[in-house]
Amino acid sequence: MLKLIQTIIYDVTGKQNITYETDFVQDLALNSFDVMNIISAFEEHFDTTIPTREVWQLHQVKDVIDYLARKGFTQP
Amino acid sequence: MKTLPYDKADYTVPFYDTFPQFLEGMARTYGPRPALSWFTRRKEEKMLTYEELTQKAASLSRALADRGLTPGTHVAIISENSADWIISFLAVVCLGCVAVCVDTEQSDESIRDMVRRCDAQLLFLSPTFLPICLPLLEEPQIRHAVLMGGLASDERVESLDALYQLGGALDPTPLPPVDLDQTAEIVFTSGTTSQSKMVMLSQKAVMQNLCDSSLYVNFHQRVFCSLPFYHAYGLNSAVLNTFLRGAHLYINGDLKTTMRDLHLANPDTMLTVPLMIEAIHNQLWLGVEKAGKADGLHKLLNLAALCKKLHIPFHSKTLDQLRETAVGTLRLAICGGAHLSKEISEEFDLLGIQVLQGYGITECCPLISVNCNYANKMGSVGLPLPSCQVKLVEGEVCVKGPSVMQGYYKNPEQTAEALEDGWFKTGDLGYLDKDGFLYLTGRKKNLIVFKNGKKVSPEKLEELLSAIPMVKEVMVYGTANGAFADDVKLTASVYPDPQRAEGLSSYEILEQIQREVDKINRDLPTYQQIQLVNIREKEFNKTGTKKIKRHDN
Repeated sequence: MLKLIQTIIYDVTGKQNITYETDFVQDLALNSFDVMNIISAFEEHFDTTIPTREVWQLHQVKDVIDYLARKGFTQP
Repeated sequence: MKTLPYDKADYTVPFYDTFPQFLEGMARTYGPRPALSWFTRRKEEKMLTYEELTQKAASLSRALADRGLTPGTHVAIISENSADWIISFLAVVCLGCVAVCVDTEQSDESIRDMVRRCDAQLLFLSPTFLPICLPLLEEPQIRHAVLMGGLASDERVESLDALYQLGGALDPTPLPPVDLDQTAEIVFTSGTTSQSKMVMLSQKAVMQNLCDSSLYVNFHQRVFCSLPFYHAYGLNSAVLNTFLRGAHLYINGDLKTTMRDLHLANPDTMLTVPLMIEAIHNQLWLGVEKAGKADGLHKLLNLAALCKKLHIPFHSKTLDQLRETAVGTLRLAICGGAHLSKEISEEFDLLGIQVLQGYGITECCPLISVNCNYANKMGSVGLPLPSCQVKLVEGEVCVKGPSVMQGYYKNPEQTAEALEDGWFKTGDLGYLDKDGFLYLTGRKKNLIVFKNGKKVSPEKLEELLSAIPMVKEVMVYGTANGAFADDVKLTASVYPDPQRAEGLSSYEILEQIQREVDKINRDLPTYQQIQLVNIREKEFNKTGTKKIKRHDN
């Protein structure tokens, strides 16, 4: 799953060196629009919807992985 | 002071004084043309013509009147951008009621607080906001709620579809006239206190602002707007302005699908904020760099700039292809809400996309000045609108005219502070050049302005942070940082409580505070989250009234 997230973040923002603890705003200096574009790419990939108000809760890469796992999405 | 002579005969669009006139005029003038489109999650386009849009709004107005709604009643709209948002708004204001545009990016509690403070008696809610607002229906002043989309499962909640049906079955009598000075909109704006202010805008004020802008800016035919409708910029300058001109509006209200819908809509005109322009710019360069063509593009743009300077015609298929890939048929971007760098405007211009920077403030409906298609000075915020008198008092931009607000709802003190002899003090610093173009140089108020046009008062965040036991004093400020598209990094400087901090290392203190800040951030929209916390060893310098001196610490 981390690899997939790394690929998506690189495609959307060009940022690399992503770990589980990477914080979108504090570490990658992403703005709200970048974060939403990343989430949108996840939605597209998993064919799901992540409500916008819930996106505020996703600060770090591991938050996204946990969120997707709660929704039943896992990927090696 | 800048005033231009103008006459109603100069307007290239119909001039209306009130919303019922506007609705009737739209139906009569543009009937079968496409008015409003949006895309479903599955990328299907849905569309309403002007005839359908105005009929739905008129039907809803009649249904609301049938339900006993009378002019002056406050009706809150709490929803993401949608066609139903627009139709509900038009129905409410055409009835002479007051549409309260609730900022839905706030926390659940803030949303409930806004609804309580504005004295709304009826709520229009999307399914997302129904559970958040259900507790409000226990309160006596709120009569009931209307659910936009979805089935109502609570007896106090009626479905919008049911109201459309009811209105459609009623006699299609013309809408009664409404008073020009009737408040049409209440829009929330960040104040320098922790509570947002409720700006009252009259029917006449909004209409004047729309009609005025048509003198300076010509839209093309397909207009894209992803600005939130609860802001005066999105609602008045984008949505209503597009309708005034009979153009085709494509709406989007979800940042997650903004880029997708921009490509699907393939507009020629876009109303937007610097954040979006910069995002498109970044995406464009990211693609070029990944393809290893950045050097070539730099050279091409330099050549194009040189030719432009020397007035030599220049045409490049490569630039055309690049623009086509990045933004399709887009040719005009109207940008407001925050400062856009001149360099990006110039680069877009070389790519064949004109960027017109404007300047507005909620209290002025919002547009104050804008560059024109035919007179565009990059770096400026354009010419003041014909009906806006602009003067500078010790560098502060002050505005007078028919589009200035009626006041802040239930707040005569702040109204008196903001308005002096009819002049609204914007809090922005600037100057006018010899041709009358306005330039902004800074802010007098403490508000932090982000590149997405949103603003936050540091006091609001400081209030939240002060509740952390370890925090004795705190000051929040925006640090300019070119590395961010938002351009502003929110930083909290904290003086820890010496008693609680006793025996702890700086690292331990910071860790404790950071944990609490993370919790606070979880309830805040991304742009309002504190990105950096630093610890100071000394108390802040303060004024005689014990306020922290913001510029002396």
